[in-house]
Amino acid sequence: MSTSARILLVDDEPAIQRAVAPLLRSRGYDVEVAGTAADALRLLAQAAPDLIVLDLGLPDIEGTEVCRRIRQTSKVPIVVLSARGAEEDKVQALDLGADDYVTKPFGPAELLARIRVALRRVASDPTAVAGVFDASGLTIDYDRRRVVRDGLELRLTPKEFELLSLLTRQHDRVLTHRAILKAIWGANAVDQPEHLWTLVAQLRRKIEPDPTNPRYLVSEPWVGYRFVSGQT
Amino acid sequence: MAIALPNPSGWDITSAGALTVALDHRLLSSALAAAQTTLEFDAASRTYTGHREEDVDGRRVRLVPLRVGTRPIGLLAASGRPVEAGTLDALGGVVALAIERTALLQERKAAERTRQSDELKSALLASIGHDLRTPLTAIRVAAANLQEEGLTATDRDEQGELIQSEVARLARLFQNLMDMARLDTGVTGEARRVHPSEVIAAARDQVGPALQHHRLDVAVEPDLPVRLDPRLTASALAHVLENAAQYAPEGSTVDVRASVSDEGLRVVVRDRGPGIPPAELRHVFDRFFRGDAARARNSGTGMGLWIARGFLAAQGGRLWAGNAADGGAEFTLVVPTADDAAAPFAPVHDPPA
Repeated sequence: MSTSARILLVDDEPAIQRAVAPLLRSRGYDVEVAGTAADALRLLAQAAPDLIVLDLGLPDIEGTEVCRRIRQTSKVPIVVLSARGAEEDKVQALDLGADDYVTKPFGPAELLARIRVALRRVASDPTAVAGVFDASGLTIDYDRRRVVRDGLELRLTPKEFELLSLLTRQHDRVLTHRAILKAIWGANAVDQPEHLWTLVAQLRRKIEPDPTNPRYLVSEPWVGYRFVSGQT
Repeated sequence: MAIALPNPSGWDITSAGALTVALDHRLLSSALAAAQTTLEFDAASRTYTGHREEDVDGRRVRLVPLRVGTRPIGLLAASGRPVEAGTLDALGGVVALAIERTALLQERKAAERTRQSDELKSALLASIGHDLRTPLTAIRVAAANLQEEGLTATDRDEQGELIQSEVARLARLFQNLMDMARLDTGVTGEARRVHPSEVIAAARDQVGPALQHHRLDVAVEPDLPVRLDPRLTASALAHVLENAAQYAPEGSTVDVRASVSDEGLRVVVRDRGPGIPPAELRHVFDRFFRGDAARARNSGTGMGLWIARGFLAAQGGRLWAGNAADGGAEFTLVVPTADDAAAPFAPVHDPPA
């Protein structure tokens, strides 16, 4: 376990602080707590956290704006806490550089999983294309551009392979529709999600044992897609 | 004279005058249908076509279309002394306009009611959304923390306390929702004789731990028995006290001054908080309204003071807000003494005069 990573918990609700701080400490993380965006930005400079858990409903500065300000000075992973129904805020925060999100009321397992994935993002370089990725039952060889499921090689089109590589290189992390469209089709395509829907459907038919009930390429409704490796 | 208006299942007929005749619905329908197809001045009979004369129960009845513009919306029936056709047309025009206007007003009112109820629903969802999510998250995580093996005894106590206080918060929210629903369906006061000090004690009880960080300074002078609904009054006072606890700094004193006079029971609650900004004074009793300070702290639901005023109004009482001369908010409750023989108060929720 990656012990003694330092987490900055930003939430104005004392009840959330009192529950989540001990949870994180019990898993070996060092925890700093901030109740306002101003405190959070100050602690970001002073305490140099390895990850920020950020509530989007802070009293002093809007959550998405806090994300933007953090990203101006730091690449520290951000896991956002938000309300169900506030999908636009989530997407905006993710597009502004947040790594992932959990929806209140969340459970401890969910939050801890998102934190582990986000911390791994800085440990490994997502731009590295070389190597082999292994997700329970599915193997992707980036060098040879080969995908094997249960011993059988799958024939993917170049775009399908591109999408699969993009998602698996940041596996278990949510990628917004916008971010995916931009990465695969370019900035002009960000408002044309139909491209993505079609490609996702094609790819699912090839890699998923049951395409109607996907286990790898999972939709995050209104937000984006997540490749679930089964490794967290 | 009679005004006949079609409705989906037949005719609404309103008669006036000394003589009334029974108008046949089929006759009315055919007259209206005829009026719909023709609109011309008939020079020979000096009437507009669409007028019709019929014998009903041996009387001569003239049926005149009520027109808005050229569209007939009903019929005017006249019998007895003959009136000139042109005069009846003019009268019909005025009646038609009045009917049309009333119908429009009713439509507008119905639309307004729908809009208000929609706004209320979204305000309710926004208000309870946050107040449900936070305690649910805290309880869920704290309960998982309690299952951790390596927890110290202090941590274990702290997580247990957290669960208790968040459950209490959910219980208060639930109580507010129930009170609000009661007020929406109508509350009636049930008066009995009580001492004001008893009502205040009940209110303190209801507020419970929310007031534990404030000092309550209570004076009742004189503590004479009054006849009122003790539960509604205590509940209303509890909401006012909770509001004071919300806005006044921890450790400060909240004064409660109660007195009994001819007007009934008067309770003044005064806190040492920042007072109510003048712009907010008009809105503190609006449902779901929260002061800027509370919104900034993400606290409160904006239900309490609305409920308090509703519970008082249900027994003919009043509640208003102001600021004390030397700072702090001041709320005044007045509950009139209920008459022994008085009929139950109507369930109302009106602002005070």
